[in-house]
Amino acid sequence: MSPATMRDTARGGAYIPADTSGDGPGGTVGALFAEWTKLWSVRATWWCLAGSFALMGVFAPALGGSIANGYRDDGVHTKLPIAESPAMALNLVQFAVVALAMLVITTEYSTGSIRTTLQCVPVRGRMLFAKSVVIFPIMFVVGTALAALGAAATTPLLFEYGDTDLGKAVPTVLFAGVYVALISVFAIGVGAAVRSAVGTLTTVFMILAGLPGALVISSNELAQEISDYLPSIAAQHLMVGDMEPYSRPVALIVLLAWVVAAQLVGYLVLRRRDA
Amino acid sequence: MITLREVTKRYESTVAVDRLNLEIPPGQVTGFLGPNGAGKSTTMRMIMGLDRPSSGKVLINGQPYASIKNPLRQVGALLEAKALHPGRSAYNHLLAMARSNGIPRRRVGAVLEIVGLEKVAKKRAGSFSLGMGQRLGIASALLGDPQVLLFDEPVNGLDPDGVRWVRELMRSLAAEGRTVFVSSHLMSEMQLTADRLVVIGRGKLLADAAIEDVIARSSLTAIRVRTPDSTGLAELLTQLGNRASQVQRHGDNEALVSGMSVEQIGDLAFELRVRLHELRVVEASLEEAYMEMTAASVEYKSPKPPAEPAPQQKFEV
Repeated sequence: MSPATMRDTARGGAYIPADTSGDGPGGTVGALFAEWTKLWSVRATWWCLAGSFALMGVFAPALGGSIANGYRDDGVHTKLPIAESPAMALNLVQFAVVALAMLVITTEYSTGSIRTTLQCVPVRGRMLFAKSVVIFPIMFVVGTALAALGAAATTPLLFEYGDTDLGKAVPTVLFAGVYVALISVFAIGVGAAVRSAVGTLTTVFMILAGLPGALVISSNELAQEISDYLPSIAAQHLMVGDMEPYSRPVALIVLLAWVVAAQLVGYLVLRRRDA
Repeated sequence: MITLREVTKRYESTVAVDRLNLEIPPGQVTGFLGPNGAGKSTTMRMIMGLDRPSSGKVLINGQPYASIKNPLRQVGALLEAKALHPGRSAYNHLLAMARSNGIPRRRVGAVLEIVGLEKVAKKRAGSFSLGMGQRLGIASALLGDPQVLLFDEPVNGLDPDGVRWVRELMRSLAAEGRTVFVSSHLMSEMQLTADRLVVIGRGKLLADAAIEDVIARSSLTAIRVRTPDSTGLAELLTQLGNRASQVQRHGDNEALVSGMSVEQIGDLAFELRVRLHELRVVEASLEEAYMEMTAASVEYKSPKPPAEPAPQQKFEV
């Protein structure tokens, strides 16, 4: 586990006042720089990213292959768009990504480093904003790369059942990026509200997987309709672009509503509770 | 300058800080003392904007912490040494802090050098010993070259050499005109480091005075009288008994008198023609003065308070 603690053999010197030339921007931009630095200076980031790509590399081709096999066994002559199995695989893979996003805030609470962060950036909204704004583009790139990798790995396993139309694949891949970015910002909002890693992961898991699972198996029609407005189901509609029960723009609005709600709750808790 | 105006922090059932008024001036080291649970940490956290006061105002140079732009450049604090991610290197920990407030990267190296951690800068902060963590916390407080500095138990875990270094660092920071506010449990250390003392007990202010005043006003600061003339001493003490606040006789030839000056006792002895071999002030240690002062707040806390609790002594200058 952790290496033995070092012995303090340091000797302090005299105080040196700061040389103030070459100052950076500070403020909101400074908060963004700080979040960027923090994100890439811990191992958990790399573990989560490696985990998500490994999961996608295994899960998307496996899904695609089994669907193609199903078509072959049934003698059906439909084709599966190559980016669709990675989109489905994201239902699972998203948890590695969500874990990374929520760690950005929950680790600070579990280690006590939130108090250092708030000393640097005492405006709660700015702190939450900085974390979210830094994670969004990174996760867009990660999500897009995940879907593209998944599609590339799946294509050879689809054989004649693969629909390689890039007009279908590219939007799916890009919207996968959008979804992963949005759900990460959602996770940061939940993290700010719940604070503990376990609590946050449980909450996010319930909303992304538990609830839709429970609603889908229920025979109640209302339950089915409600489930369409849960984020992970909306994400499928967004990525695949089926017009039923709603179009891509509506799917995007549904997702945004979840993100805004989570961020708002997170912000209010930050404002109200002591650090 | 740190200003607290009528600051109260209430938790569901307890009052951690009770209408505290304080002004921590620049150019001095102000020691912050109080028994465990007196509200020291809560007060420091409110100054840093981490906890929100239930009522009252906490200002740093006239502004609440949260409205200071790039606050690390005005206020530096060591509140808990390990308020950091254990997996991040000391250097990256400080770099992220520096970037958040627009402090140049160069300064990170400079503060690591001040605290003597430059050789382990790339090591994971989680592997640091208590003393090294303390040094890193001090480095983070110095990062923005701030005018106001807060240190909560800074010498925790440091070796004697490190303790001395912290003392000299605090003194030099105050000598440059900065505001230095330090809490500690080590009275002997406070006596060496601080110019002023703020003592709180049960969230209330017990003392806010120069360190020598705190000691001088302690009833344990007394005048020792020694004479070869035991009948003369008896006569002297009878006379003093009416005027001094406390007279304690030790054997035939010695006594401790408090509440009177050396001059008054000397003159009286001269009038009574009592030969003296010794007449001098025996100062209470800061620890004794502190214990005496906080005893009242402990007494107040006891399950069976006396019918008439002793009024809390309050020193103000």
